[in-house]
Amino acid sequence: MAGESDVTRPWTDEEIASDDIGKKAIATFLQEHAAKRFLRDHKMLGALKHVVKTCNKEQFVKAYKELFEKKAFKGPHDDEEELEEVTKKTAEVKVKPKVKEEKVAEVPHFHKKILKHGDRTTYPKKGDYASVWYIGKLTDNTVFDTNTASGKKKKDNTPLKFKVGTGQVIRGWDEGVQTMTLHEKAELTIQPDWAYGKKGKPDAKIPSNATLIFEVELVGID
Amino acid sequence: MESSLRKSARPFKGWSAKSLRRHHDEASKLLSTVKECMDYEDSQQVREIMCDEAYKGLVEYIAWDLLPILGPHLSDKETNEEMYQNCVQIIIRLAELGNPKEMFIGLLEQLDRFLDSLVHNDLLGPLQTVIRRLGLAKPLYYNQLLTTLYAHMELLKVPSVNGMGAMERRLISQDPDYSKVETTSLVLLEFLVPLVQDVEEALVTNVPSQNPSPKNIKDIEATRTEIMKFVLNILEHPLIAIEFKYQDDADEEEEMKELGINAEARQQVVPRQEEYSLSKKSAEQCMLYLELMGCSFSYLLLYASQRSANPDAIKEQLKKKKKKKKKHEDDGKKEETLPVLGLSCFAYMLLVEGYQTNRMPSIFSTVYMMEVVMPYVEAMLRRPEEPIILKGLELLRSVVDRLDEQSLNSNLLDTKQNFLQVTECMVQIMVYCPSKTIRRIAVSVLSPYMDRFDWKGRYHILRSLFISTTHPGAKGMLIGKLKDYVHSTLQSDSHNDWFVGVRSHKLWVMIFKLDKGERTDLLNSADKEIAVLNFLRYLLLRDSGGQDLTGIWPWLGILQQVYLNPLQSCLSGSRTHYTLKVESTWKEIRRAEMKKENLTGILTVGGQQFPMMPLPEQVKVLETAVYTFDLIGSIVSRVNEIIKTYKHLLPVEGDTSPRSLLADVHGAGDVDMDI
Repeated sequence: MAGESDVTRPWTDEEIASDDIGKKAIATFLQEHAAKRFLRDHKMLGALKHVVKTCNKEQFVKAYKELFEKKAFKGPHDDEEELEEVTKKTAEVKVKPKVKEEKVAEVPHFHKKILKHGDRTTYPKKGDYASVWYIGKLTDNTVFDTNTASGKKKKDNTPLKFKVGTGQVIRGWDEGVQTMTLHEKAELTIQPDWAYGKKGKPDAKIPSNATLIFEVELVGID
Repeated sequence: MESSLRKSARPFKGWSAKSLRRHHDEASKLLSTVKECMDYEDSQQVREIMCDEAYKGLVEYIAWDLLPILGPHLSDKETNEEMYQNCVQIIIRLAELGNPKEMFIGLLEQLDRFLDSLVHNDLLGPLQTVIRRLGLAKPLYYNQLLTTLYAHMELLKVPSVNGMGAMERRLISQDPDYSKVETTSLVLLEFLVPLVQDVEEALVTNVPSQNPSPKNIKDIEATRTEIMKFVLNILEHPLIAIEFKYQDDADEEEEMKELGINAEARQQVVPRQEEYSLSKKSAEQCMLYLELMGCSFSYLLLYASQRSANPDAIKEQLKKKKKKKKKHEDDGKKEETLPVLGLSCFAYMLLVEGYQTNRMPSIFSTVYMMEVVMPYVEAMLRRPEEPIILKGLELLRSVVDRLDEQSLNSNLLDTKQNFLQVTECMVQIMVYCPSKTIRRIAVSVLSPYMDRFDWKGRYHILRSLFISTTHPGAKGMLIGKLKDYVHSTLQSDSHNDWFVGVRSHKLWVMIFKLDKGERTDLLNSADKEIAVLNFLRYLLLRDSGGQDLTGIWPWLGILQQVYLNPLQSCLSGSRTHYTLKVESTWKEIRRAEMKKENLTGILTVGGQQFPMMPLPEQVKVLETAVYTFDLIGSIVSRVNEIIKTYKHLLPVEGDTSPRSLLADVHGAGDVDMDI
C-alpha cells in the first residue's frame, strides 16, 4: 500500500516546466500516484494514450502541482471507491464496450519505441503529407527496404513522402506515424495484420505473416 | 582532278580553324573542288585529306559546309559501296572536329532528309559523338535530338497479331516490317548507352571528374528527364504492342491439329525459338536505363494516379495519340506529360515481370498499389492490340493476387471511376477479343477481381454489368457469379443483406426477364436462360426451409408473371418452329435425293457468293437447337415441380424437405456454360 509520505516529487517545478519532461511522463506519474477521484476531476482518468492526447502540457503541470498541494494520492480507500463505482456502473452499462477494450489491449497491432524525441507538439494529421526516412527490417534483422543514404540500395536519397491516414501505406505506418511528432525517430514493430498479412510481399522478400520492424524518422510535415 | 584537290588543299596544311577565317574565299574555292571530286565519285581522295591530322583545322573550318555535300551520298550504299564507306568515315571525322552546335544542327538536318532507317543508323554514331561533345547540361539539344529520333520510330508500324494463332505469332519475327521495328528499337537503345552512362556518372555515382556545379545539376537532371521520356516513348511504341512471351505450346498443339500439321512438319515451318521475343530484352534494357539514371520508380508508377484527378485526362491523351500532328503543336506547352501507355508498360515490367521491384518502397499498402495501377490497366484494356490487352490483364491479375478477399471498399467504385470501367472492359474483351487465350484470361481475372470487393461493391459491380452486358454467354457467367455470392451469403453468418431480400430483387428484375418478351430468340439467349433457371432452381431449393432466407418465395407471383410464363410460351413457340423446320429440311433432302440434285443451294452475302451449308448439316444444326430447347424445357419443368412441391409444403412442414430434392441443391450449378 502506497502511503502518502512515500510519494516524493520526481521533478522540481522548473524541471517540469522545461522541455525535457514530456507530458506523457507526467501523465504516467499522475496515473500511478494520484487518487482516482483526483484524476477524474482533472479528466485524466482512462487509457494513458487518450489522456496524453486530450490534455496539453499546461494542464498536466497544473495537476502535478495540485497533486502535491492537495496530497490527493492513491490511498487504501481508493480501491473501495472504485469498486463501488464499478458496481454502480455495471448495473447501468452492459459489459460489451469493456470486452472490446480488452481485446484491443490484448493484441496491439503495432508497438512504438521512441529512439529520439521529436518536438512533441507537431503531429501529422490525416491528409497531411509526411516525409520520412526509414529502414525496414524483418524480425531476423534482414533489411528489406530503406531509403536512407546508408542503406544498401541507392535510391534518390530523398525522404519518402506520403499522405497520412488515407490508406496509401500499410496500416501500421498510417497509424504509427500519426503518433509521432516532427523530427521524432522511432522504431515501429508492426504485426502482420497491419502490414502485408498472410500474403506477404514476395517481390520484396517479405514472407507471409511477417512482423515488420521499421526505424522511421519523421522529417517533414506539409 | 586528283592533283587539283591536293593542290588546293596543300596551302591549308597545319592551319588552325581560326587562322583560316582570314582566307575564307580560298576555303570556299576548296569546297567547290571537293564537290567536284564527289561528283566524279572520287571520294577516296577527299577522305584521305579530311582524315589527315595535318588538315584538322581545315576540317573544323569547313565542316558545316561539307556536311550537305557528303550527306546525300550516304544512300549510295547499294550502288557505290566505296563512296558510301568513305562518306561515313568523313562524317564521323566531321562530328569529332566540327563545331558541335553546327554539326548537331547539320546532322539533324541530314537525318530528316532520310526516312530510310539504314541511313538513319549511319548518322547515329556521329550524332552520339556530337551530343556528347556538347555535354550533359544541354537539355534542349537532347530534347531536339531525341524528338527527331523518335519521330522516325513513330513512322514504323507494328504489324498486328490480332486473331493469329500461336504459331503464326512466332513466325511474325520474319515479317520485314516487324523486324524493322524490332531492330530500330534495339539500335536506338544501343545509341543511348553512353548517354545513360554519362548521366549515371554525373548524377548517381558522382564520379569526381564530372563534379557538376549546382546549376549544371539542374540542367543535367532536365537532360535525364528527356532521356527518361524517350525511354518511356520506346516502351509505349513499339514495345508495349509487341508480345514479350510467346504463347503456350498447348495452344500451338491445338492449332497444329486444326491445320493438320504434324510435329515434324511444324519444326520445319517454325524453328524452335526462344521463349521470349527480342522486344522483351529491349524492355528490360529500358528498365535498366531508368534504374541506372536514378529515375524515381515510385514517381513513375504513381504518375498517372496523381495526375488524373479527372479521369478523362487519360482518355484525352489517348485521343490525342490519334491526332498526332496536333500533339506536336501542343508539345511545347505540355512539356511534363509522360506517355500513359509507356508508363503502363513500365508498370507491367515492374509488377508482372518483377523487374527491379527492389526500387519500389515496400511500404505502400496493397490497396493503394491497386489504385495506382488502375489507370494503366484501363488504358491498356481499352486498346485494340492483343499484346497490350494481354499485358493489361496480367498487370491487373498481379495486383488482384496480392489482395485478400473483400479488401476493397465499395467507396472505391464511386471515387475512382476506373474500378468500375475496368469490369466493363473485361466483359468486352471476354466477348469480342479474337484470341481465345485472352478471352479466357479475362474470365479468369474478372471473377477474383469482383471477389476483392466487399459485399456492397460486389453488388454494385454486378448491377452495373447486368445493365451494360448484352452477350448471353457473358450474362450467364455473371449470373453464375451472382449465384455464388448468394450461396456464400447464406453459408456464412456475415449478416450482409446485399444478396438476399429486397436488395437482391433489384438484381432479379434485371435477369429474370426476356429481352424481347415472347418473341425472344431463345436459341441465341440459351446460355443466359439456362444460367437464370439454374439460379432460380438453386434459390428455391436452398430457401425451401420456410424461413424465407432469400425473399424468392414471396416474389414468386411476380416471377411467374414477368419471366416463367413468357418463357414457357416462348419456348413452346420456338420448339414448334424448329421442329417444323427440321421436318421441312428432311423433306427437301428427300426431294433432292430423288432428283439427284446437289444438296447445297446458293447463298449470297452483299452480292458475294458463299457456299451454302449442305442440307444434312442444316438438319444437324436445327436438331441441336431443338435439343437446347428440350434442355431449357426440362429445367423449367424441374423448377415448376419444386414450386409445386414446396408451395404445398411450405406453411406446414417447411423444415423437412425430401432428400431427393435436397440432392438437387448441389447439382443446381452444374450446367456451366463456356463463353
